[in-house]
Amino acid sequence: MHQAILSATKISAARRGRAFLRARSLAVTAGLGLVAIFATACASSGPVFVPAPTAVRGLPSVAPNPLPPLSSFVTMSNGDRVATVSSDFLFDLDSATLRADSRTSLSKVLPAIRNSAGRVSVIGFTDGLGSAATNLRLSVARAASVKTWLVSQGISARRIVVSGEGEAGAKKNLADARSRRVEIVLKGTT
Amino acid sequence: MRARRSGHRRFGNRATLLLAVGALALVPVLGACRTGAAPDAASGGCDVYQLDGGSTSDTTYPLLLILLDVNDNSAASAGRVAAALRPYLDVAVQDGEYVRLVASGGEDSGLTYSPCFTGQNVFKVDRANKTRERKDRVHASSALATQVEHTVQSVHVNPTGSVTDVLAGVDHEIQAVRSTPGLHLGKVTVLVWSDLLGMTNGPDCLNVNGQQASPALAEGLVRRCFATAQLTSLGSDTVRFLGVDATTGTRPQQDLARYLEGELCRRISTSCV
Repeated sequence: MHQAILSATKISAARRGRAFLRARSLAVTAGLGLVAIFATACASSGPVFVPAPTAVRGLPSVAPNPLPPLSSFVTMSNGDRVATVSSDFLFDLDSATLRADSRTSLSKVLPAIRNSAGRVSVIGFTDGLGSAATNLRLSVARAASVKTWLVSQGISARRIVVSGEGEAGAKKNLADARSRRVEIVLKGTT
Repeated sequence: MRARRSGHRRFGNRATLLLAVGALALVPVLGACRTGAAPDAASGGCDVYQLDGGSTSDTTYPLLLILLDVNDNSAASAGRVAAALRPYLDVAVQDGEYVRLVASGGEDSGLTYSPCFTGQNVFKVDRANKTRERKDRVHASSALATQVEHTVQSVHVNPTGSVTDVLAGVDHEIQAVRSTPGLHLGKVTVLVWSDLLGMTNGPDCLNVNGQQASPALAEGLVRRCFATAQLTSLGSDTVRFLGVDATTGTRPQQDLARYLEGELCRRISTSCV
């Protein structure tokens, strides 16, 4: 009797297990079906993406600038020696952060500075575009950046005087690459 | 018998639980799409990230105009373009912006417009639940970046061309949006993706083939662009040049591109970076 009840219970449990598995499969299938239907509905609303044949435009031939970005020191009538460098070469637009790739060229002024005993004046200039106040601030900040770099190269900070001339000498509202510059002046000892 | 009924109840409870869990699992999927109107195929499916009736609202929204000078339509290049634009798309879906995209593959390739970014509707994702909103904005921005990638890859790239192909029509593109009835346009931001290294057969002011990498030359080229009205100033509209840093050319090519970027910025707008 006990064995019969036990057997019946086992059969019932097995049936329940199979039924549960079937129901679980059904629920999962139904769920996945709903997701698939919804995803298809969303995806089908998107544009038909047809890629064009892969192509790359050729790059133009560009020659290096034959003129060095930094002039050699020119001796003025008062004995000062002046080297001029384009701000476009040293800095990005409206930036006072010295570009890493400009430092190699800038290092060419170091021997002359080390061989001189007097003060070194670093003067920033901008062109006439934008507000005068902004240009003045930018010119000072750029000169200060050059000073910071010179100091990092072992030039005494006490020798270096920084100033900014802003858009002095530039035509107002005119973009002019020649005006955007930094001058490094070795003060004459004569 | 009682045990069997109890077993059926337990089985019924578990099946109900499974169905409930399944239904809950669908909620995030459903949440990814806007409820209500079905996505519109004409908008490239992008309407799910746009405001309902955005174009007829009284609220003023900014315009993000994206100009792509596509010189490489490979998947890798498309990914770089989308990555550069992603921060701007993030802001668009957060703050609400009209977005228009125009692409050119160079000379004689015509302009490619995106059905997603027509500039006629406001992209904005708002949800009552802030967590849901944050997730949906990320999802929207990602989907829009994919749209950008697809647009880049669908552009037919010509062996010659320059940024003037898209930049020359910038006024027209802004006016096309501004003149839409019922649309209230605010601040305009123009994003220009280009390496600025134009090479053309025609009389293009930004054809730099055979030129030297000098600030003075870049200045002269850009001055000529404006003097010949191939380019016009955008006044105080914000302009951003993207893509110049992605140039993998020679040092002179990179230098000239950087000088041109500066010169274009100085002349095209009072608010250019």
